Amino acid sequence: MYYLVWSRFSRWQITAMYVAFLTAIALSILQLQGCTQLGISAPANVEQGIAYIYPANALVREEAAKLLKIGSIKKQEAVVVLDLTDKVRSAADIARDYVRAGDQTAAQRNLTLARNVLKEARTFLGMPDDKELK
Amino acid sequence: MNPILIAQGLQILDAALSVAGNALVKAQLVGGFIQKAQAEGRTTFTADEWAQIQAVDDAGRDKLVNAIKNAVS
Repeated sequence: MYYLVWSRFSRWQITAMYVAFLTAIALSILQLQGCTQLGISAPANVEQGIAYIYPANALVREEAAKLLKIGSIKKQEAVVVLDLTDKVRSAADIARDYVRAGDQTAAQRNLTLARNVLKEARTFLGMPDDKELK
Repeated sequence: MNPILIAQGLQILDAALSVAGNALVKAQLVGGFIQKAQAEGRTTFTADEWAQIQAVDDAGRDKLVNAIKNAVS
């Protein structure tokens, strides 16, 4: 049975799958090791949580640009992602304004809104969950 | 040996590592600022640090806007 499955693939196909498998394991280990060793610190307050939204939002924008260039999404869909990520940016900016005004509750509310909209955009593009957004 | 298959495999690998690496570099910027703030006994970011954090998103937006401009409907 084992032989029948693997005999369908060429040596190079098996090698490619093996490399992809090792890469997936390596990336999983990096995640399990904890982010601190990689220079990523867990946010200690609302302001730091807000700060992580900006690079996460940029990543979604860049992913949408890449997918549009290779034809995986349509122009109109990219416009929707642009709109969603602009909303994320607005919510993050507003959250930051509330932090500066000393209203942590309103800041947290807008941070949650930014995270939720960003998750929607990531899901739409088929991106995996971002640990920093949880 | 199938060169096309190898090239495809390498492209997939490159794309996966590129996405993971890009995400890591971006998050490291904020992580670095958090560690710096902790070392300096601060709980907030400086105006310059915020400017750099926001510039990351601005650059991402520019890329998407340009891609949309250059795309055909």
